[in-house]
Amino acid sequence: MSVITIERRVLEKNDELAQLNRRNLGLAGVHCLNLLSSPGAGKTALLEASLSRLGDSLRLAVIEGDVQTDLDAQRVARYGVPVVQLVTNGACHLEARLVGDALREIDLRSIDLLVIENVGNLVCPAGFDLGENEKVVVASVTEGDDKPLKYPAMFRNASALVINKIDLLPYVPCDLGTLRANALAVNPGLEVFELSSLTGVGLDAWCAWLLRHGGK
Amino acid sequence: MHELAIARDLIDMTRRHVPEERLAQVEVVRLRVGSLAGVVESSLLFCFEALVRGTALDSARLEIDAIPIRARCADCQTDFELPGSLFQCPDCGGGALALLSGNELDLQEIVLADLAPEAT
Repeated sequence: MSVITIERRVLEKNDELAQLNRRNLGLAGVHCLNLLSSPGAGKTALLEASLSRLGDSLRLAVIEGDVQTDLDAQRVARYGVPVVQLVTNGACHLEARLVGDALREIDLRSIDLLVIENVGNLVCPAGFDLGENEKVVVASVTEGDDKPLKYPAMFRNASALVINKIDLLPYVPCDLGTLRANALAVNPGLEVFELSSLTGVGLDAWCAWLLRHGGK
Repeated sequence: MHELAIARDLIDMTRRHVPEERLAQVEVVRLRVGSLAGVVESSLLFCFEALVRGTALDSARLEIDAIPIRARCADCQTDFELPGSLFQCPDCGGGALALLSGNELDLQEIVLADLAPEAT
């Protein structure tokens, strides 16, 4: 019997490609966010509301990741920003290679901030570095207040949490204080935003954060 | 089902580290998986078996060492194992923790069987 000792990350190929993406984005002076949530938490609606509010104050591009269809890209394109749709054809997460392909379709010199909207999933995308500078998790109040404890890997590695759909709080059994406390128990460094993409409440603070992180 | 992508990369890695003529001797591929890696062990085993079937790695078995989440408290410097997903120091209640383990998804080692002695 002989043993070959390896001790290397299984996803090292993805990690290398992610580093390459990060370097290319950095050279072009682009800040990149990886936007994550369960399906239906409102990632695309948050992007639409943010784009509408930010107007020309931030030069933004979007990469949309979905299992099927370019419906999200169509929604975002209405705001006149560059958007690339990635269709994973069944895969539950985006990988750095796909994002690298998408980067070639975007004029990075003409943007400040790139938002990658990942496939809706609170588990699988956590392990796949895409080359982003920061992860942002969106949790909606309709999902309940226990999700940070159930999906700690996703919340632990994010810099910001957007709690969406707070206009629905009167109708759902979700305690905002508990949700916030659970998220901060998993990750005390999280910046938390409470907002509704639909009504616009709370969007100002979130958009100010985007502007700051886009170097404005 | 990102376990399929992980199994695919794991097999690619194994093929890179073992000479092609020795692939059939691979008995065990040993992986370290942290509790925070978000990997379902049974799914990964299933995907690995499905991908090696009928290939040179047909007899390879995937063995997984589960790694707990361990952290050090920045306030009182205690090292401890996290019981669940409450990222809090059991001694002083502090929340500023440096993770010592739990994110692993590492190919640790590959065990190869000896060649059968040649018949004389």
